[in-house]
Amino acid sequence: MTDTAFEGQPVSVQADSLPGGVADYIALLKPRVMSLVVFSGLAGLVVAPGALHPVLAVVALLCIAVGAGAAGAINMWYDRDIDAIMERTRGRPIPQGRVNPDEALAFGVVLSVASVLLMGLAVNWVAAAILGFANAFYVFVYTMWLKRRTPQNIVIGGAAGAFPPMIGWAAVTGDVTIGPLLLFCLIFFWTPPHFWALALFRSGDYSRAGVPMLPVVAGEAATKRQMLAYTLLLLPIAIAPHWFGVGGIAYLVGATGLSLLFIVCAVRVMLDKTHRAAKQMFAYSILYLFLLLAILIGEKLVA
Amino acid sequence: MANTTVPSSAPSPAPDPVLDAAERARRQRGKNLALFFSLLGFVALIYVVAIVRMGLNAPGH
Repeated sequence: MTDTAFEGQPVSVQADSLPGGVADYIALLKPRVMSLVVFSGLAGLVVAPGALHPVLAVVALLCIAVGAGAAGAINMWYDRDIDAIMERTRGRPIPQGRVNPDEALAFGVVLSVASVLLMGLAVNWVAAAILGFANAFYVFVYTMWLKRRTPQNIVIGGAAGAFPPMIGWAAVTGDVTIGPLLLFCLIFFWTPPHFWALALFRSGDYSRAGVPMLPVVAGEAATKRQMLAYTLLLLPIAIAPHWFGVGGIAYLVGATGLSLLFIVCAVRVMLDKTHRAAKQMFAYSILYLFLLLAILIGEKLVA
Repeated sequence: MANTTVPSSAPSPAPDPVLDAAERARRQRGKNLALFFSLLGFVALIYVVAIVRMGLNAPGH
């Protein structure tokens, strides 16, 4: 497998002559992304009917975290050429020359296989299969296929990030029902406005790297319209878990209020000529998902 | 993640080979220790999981 988009282009980054330390290998796992993935996995684990032994629950979360991190490491290996061009990603260990790309690939593959096997042997094979599928989807479908080819990259590729609650749920019940599907839909429809808010104020970066993000290909106005459409769509999807018994009254109230605020953010982005509102919306989108999942978890723990 | 190195046209000072070797050894030792504790943790985890699962499969559970 080779990087096809920018072969032969010079990488204008000064390489570090020293090999990377432990911190560089931890950075390969994208710990900040991992934290939200683990939290959404925890939400699935907690709200699922039934109970899982606490040790096995910790193992399930560990597998979700390591699996997501491993997929991130493989993503960094594949995207090392564009990471070196983009300001946001230029400081990553591979473009900086602190970690050898082959080592990063081996690191990612070993951790990915280990996390799936451990999930299967310790918890159950349904959760392991979904974890393996999510990792493969992120690496092969999003990173290698869609990211450099279509402005819908994060719409379809966003599915990879939507699997963790389903994995957590399946770890408890051993199956997939309407509940985890609703949580999947919640994150799936949340991803486009979240990512496009980032892409709006980083469009120069994506443009230089040749990544066809929506603001680069369709322009800012079209992106802002799509963001508003997705936030409107997200309102009924966000409150749906209540109607299917996954969330209670507190969740219904919280999801309605937070989703309405998300819509307000999208409207502000449409009216804003600068990128200030987009930055605020990006920050709010993270808080939005975190709070929704926190309410779900809190309600279940209190009940 | 911080953008730590910005390409510059100014010549950078020559690296000190003694310091480089010491830093290289320090980083390698850190990686070795991290790998050792990761493997130790993995073995302990498998051990604990095996005990828990045997307990769950025991009669009367």
